[in-house]
Amino acid sequence: MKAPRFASAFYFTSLVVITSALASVLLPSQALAESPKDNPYPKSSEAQPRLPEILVSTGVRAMAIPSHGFDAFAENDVLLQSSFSAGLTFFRSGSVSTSASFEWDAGGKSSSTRGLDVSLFVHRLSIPLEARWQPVKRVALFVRVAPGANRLLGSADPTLRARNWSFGVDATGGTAFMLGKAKSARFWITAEVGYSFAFAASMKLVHVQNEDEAPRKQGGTVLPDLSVGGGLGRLGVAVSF
Amino acid sequence: MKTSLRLCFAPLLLCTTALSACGRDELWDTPPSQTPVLGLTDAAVVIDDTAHRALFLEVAQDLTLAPVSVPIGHGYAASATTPDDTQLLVLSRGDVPRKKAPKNQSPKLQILHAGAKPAVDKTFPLSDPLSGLAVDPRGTYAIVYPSASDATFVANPNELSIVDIGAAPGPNNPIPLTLRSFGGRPQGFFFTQELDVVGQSRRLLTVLTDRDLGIIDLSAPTKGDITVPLSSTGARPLPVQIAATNGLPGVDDARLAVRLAADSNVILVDLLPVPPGDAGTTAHDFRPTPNIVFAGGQPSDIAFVNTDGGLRLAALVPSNQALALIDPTTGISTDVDLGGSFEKLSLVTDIVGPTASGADVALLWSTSSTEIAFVALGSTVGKPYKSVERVTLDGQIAQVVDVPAPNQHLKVLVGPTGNLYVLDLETRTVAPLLTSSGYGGTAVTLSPDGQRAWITAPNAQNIASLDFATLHPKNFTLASPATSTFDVTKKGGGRAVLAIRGGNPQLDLTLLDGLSPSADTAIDYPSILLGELP
Repeated sequence: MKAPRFASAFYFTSLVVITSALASVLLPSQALAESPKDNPYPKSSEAQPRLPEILVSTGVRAMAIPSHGFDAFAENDVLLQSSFSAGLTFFRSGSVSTSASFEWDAGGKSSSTRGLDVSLFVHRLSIPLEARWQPVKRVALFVRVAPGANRLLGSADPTLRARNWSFGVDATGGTAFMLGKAKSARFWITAEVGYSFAFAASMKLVHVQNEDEAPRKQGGTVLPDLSVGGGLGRLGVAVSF
Repeated sequence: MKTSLRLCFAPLLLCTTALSACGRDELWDTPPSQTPVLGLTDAAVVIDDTAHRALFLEVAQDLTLAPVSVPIGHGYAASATTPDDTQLLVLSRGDVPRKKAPKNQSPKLQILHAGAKPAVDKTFPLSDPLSGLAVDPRGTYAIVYPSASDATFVANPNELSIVDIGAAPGPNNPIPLTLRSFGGRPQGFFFTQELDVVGQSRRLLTVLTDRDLGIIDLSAPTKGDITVPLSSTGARPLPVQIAATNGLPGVDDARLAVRLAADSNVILVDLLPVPPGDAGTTAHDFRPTPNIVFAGGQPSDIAFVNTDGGLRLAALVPSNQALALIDPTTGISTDVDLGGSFEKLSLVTDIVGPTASGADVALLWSTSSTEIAFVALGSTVGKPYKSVERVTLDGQIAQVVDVPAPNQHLKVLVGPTGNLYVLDLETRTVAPLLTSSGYGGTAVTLSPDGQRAWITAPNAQNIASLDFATLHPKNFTLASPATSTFDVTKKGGGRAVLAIRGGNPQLDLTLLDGLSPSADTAIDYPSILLGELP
């Protein structure tokens, strides 16, 4: 049976609370003790990273998608995606910096829907714009806005395809914890939560003819509109240099 | 550091696990199981039981499919269309066993219509979850009754509900009724035409049980039924067919005829006034009086016919190769020698016109003979028939399909092995149509405008249209064999043909233009039961 729609909001709120608590737990007391108010790199021996600083990260992106259209492809509301991004920190003033990057998230679901094997694969290409505040050397807090496009690739056994694009924006906030550094490279673990807003896309199943078949006009069976928006969480590791 | 990593991933793991338990509606997890498809004038309708909906498949002017889903509730039991194909009747048992409110749904009969906005017109609540549904050929009444599949702890198989389809639901609609039974249970229903019974024009509902007959006066159904025992010896004759006649004009002699299974007798039931002395003993003003008449052998079909000798009950007796004409007044039977065994009889007087003496003309055919016959019943006095005209075909006939106006003079004869013939009743010619061998179970769907037929076979990946004006068939290859075909009116006019293709439980469909079918304009729609879901 379908859980109430507020369930996803509940889980999203839980994610925010848990992550916030985690951030406070992870803050090393030593780092807090030596943190200056306005510059995480006060000693001359620890010069600030040069600009532009390159950021590369990978991780897991998890979404809670309440859309009815998602039900056609998945037995539950969870979509897990692998996430890759690369970007540049192009501005820094004291403990505040901004960056822009390019992100690619990819992941899918499959299930048996009304006796038919179906699957959905979602590629998300986005350009996250991030503002980061690094109050201490090993911890940074950030907010991020990531407009992007979702490529929705649905299929049903054996020859049915449903393809569409949808556009949306992620609004997230999170924390980054520096695991360590080697030479000029710094290694981070990041956690963020937020919400992904996405327009609904029409998904029409169409038979894809193979080469042996006589050409025939194909109509489509319209599935419920699919919106890949919902609560969002992302965990990853990053390196900046 | 390992602990920190674990702590970092813990919330994500926790949340995804929790969300995984948040499943979708069960309709997505259940394959379609029971998907009867019915035809209305402007839509084909798929009953999607597991999704609790009727999927109306309408066709737009540009030959695109315009499906609309209408919820029908839980516990689908049966469905039927009205004879004019404008309304759909859906019988639901509701939730058995009952669920907690508000999810619990009660038994009901719903009337749905297609058109611009398909919807439920009326809902008739029912007191019991029953699965049997019978519809009046005139579309006035529906009967809900217990079918063999209705198994409860304790059930009365003689309870039924009479629904006046045209009237609004109310305290007296439907009318629940319990048949006065002598141990029998309903097997079938027969609605008569208007009969003049005791000076009042009324329609009767005849209930065929497994041993007797129940007669319900539809002008006063609350009076209950009159049970007519069909045997006085304790035997259990099984009634299988009813014929009704209004009798002679101006004479109050309406009667019924009952054909019995594996019995050489036919029972004539006179509908007589209740004797004045018995008026207080019954709520009814007429009394059915059965009379047993001998047909000379086991009849396979019966009908009341007009001959120049008067009204007769015609009983086809294949074992005697004869048509027994029984005088309903005297019970005297006269045989018409047919020269062959025929099992089925159809009066075609309305099409070919009566004989010079005003008598009926009958078409006879058989599933075991390669002949059909026309019998003109004009001279039963002296010579027992006017003429028997036989036509020999290449094969037997399993089904005779009536063609609507303006080609009502044609009949499509369908053989058991797929052979087809177009019979012209006016010229008494039979045009054979050759079909590829091995395609048994050929199905013929007629366009409501009477201009063409659509021919499919269960294992044939083809559909053919047959133009009745030219008798020219056009063949089209489908992506897979069609299981049923519907010729419907497109939105805004014109005709379209929906060929439902099985094999896929989600049902595939091919859409053709009805008036000018072409493979170039045909459109395939896949897995239509995945569409229009909530």
